[in-house]
Amino acid sequence: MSAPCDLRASVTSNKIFPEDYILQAIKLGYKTIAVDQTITLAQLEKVHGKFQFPVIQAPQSFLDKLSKLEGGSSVKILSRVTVEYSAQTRFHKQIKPALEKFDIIAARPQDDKALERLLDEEIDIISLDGGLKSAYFLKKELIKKVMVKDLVFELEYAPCVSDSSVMGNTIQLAQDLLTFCKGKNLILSSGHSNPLYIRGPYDVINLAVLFGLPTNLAKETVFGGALNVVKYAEGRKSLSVNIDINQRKV
Amino acid sequence: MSIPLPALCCPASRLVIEQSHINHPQSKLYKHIKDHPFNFMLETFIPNCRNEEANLNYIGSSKYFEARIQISSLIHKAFIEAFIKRGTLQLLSCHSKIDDEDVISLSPSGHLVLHLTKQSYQQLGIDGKPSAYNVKKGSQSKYVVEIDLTKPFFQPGKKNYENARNCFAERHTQYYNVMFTWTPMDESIAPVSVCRYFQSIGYKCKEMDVELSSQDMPSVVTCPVLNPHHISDETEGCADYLDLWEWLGAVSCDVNVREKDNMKDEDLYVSTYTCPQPHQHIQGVFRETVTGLISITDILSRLEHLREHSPAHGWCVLTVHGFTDAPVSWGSKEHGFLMDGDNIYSVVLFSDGTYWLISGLGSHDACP
Repeated sequence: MSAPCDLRASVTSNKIFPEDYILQAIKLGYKTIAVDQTITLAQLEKVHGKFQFPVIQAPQSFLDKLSKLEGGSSVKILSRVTVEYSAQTRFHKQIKPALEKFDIIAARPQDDKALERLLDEEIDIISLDGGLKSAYFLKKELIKKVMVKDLVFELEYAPCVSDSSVMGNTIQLAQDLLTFCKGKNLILSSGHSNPLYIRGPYDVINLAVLFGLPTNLAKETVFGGALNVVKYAEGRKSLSVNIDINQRKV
Repeated sequence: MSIPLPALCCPASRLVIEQSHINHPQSKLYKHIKDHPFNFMLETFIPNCRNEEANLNYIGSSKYFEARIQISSLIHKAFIEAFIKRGTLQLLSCHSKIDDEDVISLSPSGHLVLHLTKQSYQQLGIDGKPSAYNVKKGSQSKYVVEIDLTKPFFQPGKKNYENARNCFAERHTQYYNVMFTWTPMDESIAPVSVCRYFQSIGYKCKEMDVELSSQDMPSVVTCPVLNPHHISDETEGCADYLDLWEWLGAVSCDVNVREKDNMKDEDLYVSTYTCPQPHQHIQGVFRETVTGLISITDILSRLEHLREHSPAHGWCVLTVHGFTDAPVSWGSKEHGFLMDGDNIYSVVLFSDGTYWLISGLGSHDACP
């Protein structure tokens, strides 16, 4: 079953769970929302010899409020971490346990070499920063390797709403991705904590059409593409087992 | 250097128009209305008319029903014999989106149509066909299962009935929130009987009232001049049917429709829409809106009522809005939702019995 997903609802700058943002997303029709925390590797604290980073969970009062909303019980809220990654940094084995507490792991490369190095890591999303002008030169061979690994590129539309220069850069990235991978390994997410900047699923589809995707593919990207990422992340988290069987209540 | 953007194309939608006379033997008006069972809004526009002059007491059914049921209850033999074969039953699942959830409907002809996701279809186990409007080519994500409940071979003891009964009783037991209306053939039987039946077998069911609103719109001071025998603007002195369609939409959305010369600069900021040429000055428009699950019988009653009163007003319009998430729109043809699920039609009635039937179809709709 496909359902609209927003995989980047950012926590606020003072690390508070974005309750208003999530309520607005549910009102607009999203069924799966991932709350994102962006970190640099320098921010990981070492406690008792192990790197740790706290996961900001939804408060119980918010979950109670959500269960009373119409359709609120079927909404999934996931945790996500986005690691800013440059050519000089590297995912150490010690850092991985800190990141694996999150449902979705994303990486934001700062340049091409960082992007190439990310292919060796166990991540789910490669988040492209539209604010970095001409940071990426997306090569066809690199994108093919990303497609073979079933990773997806993520573009954010919320920064485009507030800044027209970011919009131009984002469109350029989208055009490059469309040229090389025909829009198959691409998802769109909001990437903000202010509820004013989130848009409904059909508005995001229209934005994808503006970027150059055919309407059918744009709808599949918003409705199914992000959901595939969630399923892939669930499979990755299952670690040693290849099949994860859960008993469902009928 | 500017980035070359692709040529933007709007989702495909169509407008179908028929111009004929109500008494013409080949007129498709009544068939068109009867083939479009799932409607949520009925709008009546009468130019140059006021509320007290309209004489339009809503004589249709003011009630419909909402229930939370399982599909297995719809194929009980008792239900089919008592309600489906002895009246006009229209049932549609509510609060579910057709493009990513399961949707069910039961049309007045007795066809149970299930528009299921791939997971639900594989779980159900009844033969169906892939949706004609699957989003991704080569990947079937939605399936359509259609069962004719009125067929003589759909009886207990027959293979296909027992198979359907087992599938709905054991494999597909989810509950659906549905809305329905029932018009019995025998007028001595109350339509609420269906609701009582569902309650007797343990389902929740409640009555709902349609929302009725009548208003005068004195700010609408211009309307297009129409010639009933000329739908396009080839002949001077009358507006095009496209202009009329746009004007109807503007009035329906409460857009301020004025002459261009009378518009101030601040008006142009909100809307630059002006009444198409040629137009005439009027004293306002009477508008009535009925919202809920509107039965075909009520639409036909309203149409007959307008036919009797339209001579006094020149022309009037009856607009019917179909549900965007209905699995079928016109006849048994599949309906879908891509970026829009429009299935709307307007009947423009003239005093001499001529009518224009303008139907707006969405991108995932077959031509009626």
